[in-house]
Amino acid sequence: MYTALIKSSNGSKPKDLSNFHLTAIVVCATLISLTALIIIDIFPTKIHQPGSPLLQSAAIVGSILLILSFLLIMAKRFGRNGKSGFKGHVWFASIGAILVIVHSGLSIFSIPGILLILLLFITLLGLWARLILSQKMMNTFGSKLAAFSTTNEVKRAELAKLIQRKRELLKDIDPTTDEAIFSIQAKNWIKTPLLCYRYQQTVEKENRLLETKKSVSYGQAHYRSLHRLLSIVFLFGLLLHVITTTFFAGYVADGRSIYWWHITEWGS
Amino acid sequence: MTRLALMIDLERCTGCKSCEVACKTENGLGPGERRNRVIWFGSGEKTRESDSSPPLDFLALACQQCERPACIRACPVNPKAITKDPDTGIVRINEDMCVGCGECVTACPYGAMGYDAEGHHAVKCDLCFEYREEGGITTACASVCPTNAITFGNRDELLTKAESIDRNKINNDPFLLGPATIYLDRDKNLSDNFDASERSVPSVLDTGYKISSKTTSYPYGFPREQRKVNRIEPGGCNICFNSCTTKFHFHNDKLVKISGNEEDPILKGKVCPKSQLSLQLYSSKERLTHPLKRVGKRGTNQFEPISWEQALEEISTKLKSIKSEFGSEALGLFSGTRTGTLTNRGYIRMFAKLWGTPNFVTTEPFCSSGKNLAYSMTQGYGGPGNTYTENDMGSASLHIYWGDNQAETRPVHFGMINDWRLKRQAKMIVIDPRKTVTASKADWHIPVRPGGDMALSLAIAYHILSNDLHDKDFCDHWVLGWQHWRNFILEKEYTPEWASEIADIEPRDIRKLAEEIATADGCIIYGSRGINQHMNSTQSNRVLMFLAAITGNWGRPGGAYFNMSASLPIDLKIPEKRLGHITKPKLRTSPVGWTTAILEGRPYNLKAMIVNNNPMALWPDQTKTREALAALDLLVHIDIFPNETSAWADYILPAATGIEKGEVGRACEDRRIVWIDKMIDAPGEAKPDGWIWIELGKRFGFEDVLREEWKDSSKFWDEALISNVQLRGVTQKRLHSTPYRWVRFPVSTEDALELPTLYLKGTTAAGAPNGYRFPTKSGKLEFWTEELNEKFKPYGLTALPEFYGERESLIDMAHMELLDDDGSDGIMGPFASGGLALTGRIVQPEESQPGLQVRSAGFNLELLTGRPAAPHFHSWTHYSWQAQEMWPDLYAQIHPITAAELSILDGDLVEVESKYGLVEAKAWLFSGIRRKAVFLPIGWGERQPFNPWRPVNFLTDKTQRDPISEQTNLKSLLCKVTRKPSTRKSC
Repeated sequence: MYTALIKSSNGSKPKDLSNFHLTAIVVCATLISLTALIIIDIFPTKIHQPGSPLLQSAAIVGSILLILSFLLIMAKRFGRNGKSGFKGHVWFASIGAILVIVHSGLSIFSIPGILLILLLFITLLGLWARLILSQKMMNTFGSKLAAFSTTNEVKRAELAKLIQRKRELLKDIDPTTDEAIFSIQAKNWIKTPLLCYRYQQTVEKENRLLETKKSVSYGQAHYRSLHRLLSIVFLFGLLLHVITTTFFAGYVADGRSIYWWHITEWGS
Repeated sequence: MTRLALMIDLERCTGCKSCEVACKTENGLGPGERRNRVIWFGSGEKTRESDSSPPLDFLALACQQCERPACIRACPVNPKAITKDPDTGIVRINEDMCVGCGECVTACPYGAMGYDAEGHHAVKCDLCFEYREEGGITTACASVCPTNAITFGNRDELLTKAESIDRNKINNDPFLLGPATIYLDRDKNLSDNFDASERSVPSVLDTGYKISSKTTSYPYGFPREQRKVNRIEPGGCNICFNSCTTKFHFHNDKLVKISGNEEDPILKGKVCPKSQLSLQLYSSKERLTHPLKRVGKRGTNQFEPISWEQALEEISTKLKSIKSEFGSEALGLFSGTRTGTLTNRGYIRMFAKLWGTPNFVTTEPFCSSGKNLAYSMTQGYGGPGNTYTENDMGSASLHIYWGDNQAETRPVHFGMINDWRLKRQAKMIVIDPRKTVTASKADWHIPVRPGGDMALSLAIAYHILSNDLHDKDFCDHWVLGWQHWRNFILEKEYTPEWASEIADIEPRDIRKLAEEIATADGCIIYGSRGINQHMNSTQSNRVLMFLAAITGNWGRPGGAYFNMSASLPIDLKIPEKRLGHITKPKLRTSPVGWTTAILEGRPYNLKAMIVNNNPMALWPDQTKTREALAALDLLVHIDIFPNETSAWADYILPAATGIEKGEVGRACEDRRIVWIDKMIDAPGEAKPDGWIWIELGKRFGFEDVLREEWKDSSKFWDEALISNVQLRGVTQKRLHSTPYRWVRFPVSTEDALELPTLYLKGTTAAGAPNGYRFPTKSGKLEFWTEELNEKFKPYGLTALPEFYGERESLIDMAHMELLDDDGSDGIMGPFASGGLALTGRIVQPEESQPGLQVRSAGFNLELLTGRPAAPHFHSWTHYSWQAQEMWPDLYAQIHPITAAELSILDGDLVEVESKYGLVEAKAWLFSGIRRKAVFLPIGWGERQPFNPWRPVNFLTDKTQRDPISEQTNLKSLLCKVTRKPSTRKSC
């Protein structure tokens, strides 16, 4: 079974979105956004307002695509192919971003504008990771020498305790698996959240002793957490924006006319 | 469960990076992608003499196949993209599933997880899982490792083996991950325990990762199924004197891999990085593929492609015109390593004889002419008679590497010697101004002053002879004139005290060294370019030969003066009546002596040259070389890559190499002749050198001698080159009768037995009268004879080697003053090839101090040049992307204390200036070099595709030559070093 799993790779180099294609997609998305903004500006106000039927529709589709983009990258945690997931992540995020930008009219000096800035930053962070950070990751090979230096026996004793603690917790989280290769998956979080939290805390302690994050540059150590965190913040913001404009249209209008599609006018 | 693992021996590893090349080739990895890496450790920027950390150590790093793999736990993919085989413990990655997040790269505390920055996925060692599934019995890295530093197998068995040889293991599990890899520590008798903390990694290595994958070609980056081997042909490497046997692996007609030949009973599949990297040379996009004609000004590198017909017609027309105006001697021919042995010793030589020019030389005057002459004078034949076998060289109890960095220049042979040394507990001493890789393995390193070798060897001889430590029986029976020499040495009082200042070694150490040599049961003194590349090249080599002889270390297993290599005794048979008419003597043995003939027409005109490698980057004093080559009426360059020389040529002819043409390996150190079949076509319209010379010869009517059918190199070998009694048995039939394609000469018939050790007591030398143990006139080793002495007289010297050193040194010593310049007629040299030779006289320091003048001009550091690390060989390996990835930049090794005085940090861009020119290089702070010395490697050039640097021959002097052999001093010059301002960040 083990051999079969690995052999599925067939020894070939996996097809991936190349740096060239990724850059081309992002550049094209930027150009399309700017062109669309210019074109849409030619139309009368009732069309190029963010809440106009056309731009609100664009926002709805764009938001769905951005959420899908997020879900696609999360799919790898549920046994989906990460490679095609990544391609979808980029395509959906790019098209979604175009639609959301056009919807926004690039109005960054507003409360929803924060979301736009966040989206831009997340995009740039992803691009940087793929184009620049991947070079750093490549050059990490052979750069860590602590494992070949004098052993710190106190640290070893602490590590031994942490490993033991993990093994004990694992008996209740998933008794069928081995601590040596285990990391918490979504299903574990759902089944035993508290134990998983404790387990994860222990893992973090172990990583600190291993100086995992310290062994690489700050960017390399933290970019993924940051990209993920900002994406979650963005999605929460997006959700909040949808809820307020749909249900608290009065609060959003703040005395102005409510010209966009909404369900309730709470907060007026 | 059979847990599999690698065992890596730090005492054996020489940092050659052969394993890296094997890994990338086997796994089709491109630039930057790593499954393994050999890390070089320096001693850091230590500025105190009391610091004791060794200047060099090497750690071969690959995935440790942990019991608790941090990479698997960090992998966020579900199911994991990284898995561990429960049976073998091998940790593997499914690159299709990997999303390229890099969490595993961050998590691995060994830094052993690679990454493909273009394919965006992690890359890791899986102990060659697929290769072994296809039938491989070990890993790619272990199969090639020249020093047996890497072994693969069942972990428990490896542990048992480690215990049986009483070696300590490094604790590489500080994080309780349970690594499978076993590291054997440095030999506990020789070194402290290895500890990576407080060690530094020199910044000049492994920084070439910016090489784009666009520069690579098949098979790198191609799927495994498109690289699957379905045909293997045995052959060999045509690069260096190690003459490694190889296997060429094909996927249909495409070459996909070059490995060692495990069927070779001597080398056993071990092979250095160069042999494997030649795969990248065969498929390089930089190759010359069409004849080119210059259309711009010389040096501007502007050419247009033309047909072979046009090129050869135009060249021959110009040559005829030059011949009619200036005589046939106005054509100079120069060839070298790249050209290949068959061409160097066959095709060109034939052409030169038919054309009628004495001016044909190879690279010998830069490499080995001094030792060749010394061997001929002393032994009657130009090369050592011992072999790399366990019963011969492996049986020595003392190995002395004297100016020979074998670990980096011939890694496979060094690996064998080092292996035998460790098994037998034999001693190794290295005499070298630098603690080279070879020296890093030694029991004792003696950092001799550059140019002090002859003084040291004379003082050793003095101590041995004055204390009757010599082998009297051997001397009396087998050495002619040894008493003359003994009396001379004693009379001159070449005492250890006398030599101490010159060699910069304590007298007690000289005595100790002398006693070690005299008392060893079998001592091999390895000499090489460190001895040869001096103005006293011939005499230094002779003294070392005498030293070996008086201690009985000649004509016995495990005893020798071993200055590689063994010249191929090829005799060309050309009918007397077809020899071209020559009326003038050879200009000079060294081609650098030709520049005056080109520029000033003295002693006569040299108007045209056909060069077959890269003289512009090779001949000392490039400034003068440029001037001279630019002044030629015709310069034809035959090569495989465009380089400095081609930029100045009128015509460039694209050549084939190795398996593109059918070739014999280079003159092997121990007389193995390795045959390499033609297996693939050369790229574009490139042609074998033999084809070019035969076609050119046709334009002059030489086809009756330089025959059409000899374009087939195997026919040329059998029919034209092996008529000599020593080679008569080395036929194509015999060469092809073995699966490893080599035969060791001398063999006078096809079924004659090969001799492992020559000149044994009771034997007769090949071609010598019965009972003549050595192939000299007397049948004995000859130190001094009347006849020999007469030959020395025209030079102003005697057959008894009197000490002289170099002109440029930090102290003033006796030196050679040349009385002729290259334009003068000089004398007809009685040695070498009989051309015009320089005369000279030994000048004592009281009389003249040329070094003082140079030092007064601020040149206060010793300048050494030499070969770089194992993956490089002169300029042609600089076209291999992986060699450039490992060793991208020209570097200057400088002692940290001196560097601190000059405000230089490791990696700084520095200017190195000698009296003759200036180059830039990156500083490598290296505590293994003499305090006041600077070392720069050869091979880099300004027109190379990846990392162009000005070559070191801008710093060397063409006039500092041994009058006897014309060998140039490239090892003892003076220089100064300055940090290039405002460049620190860029480094």
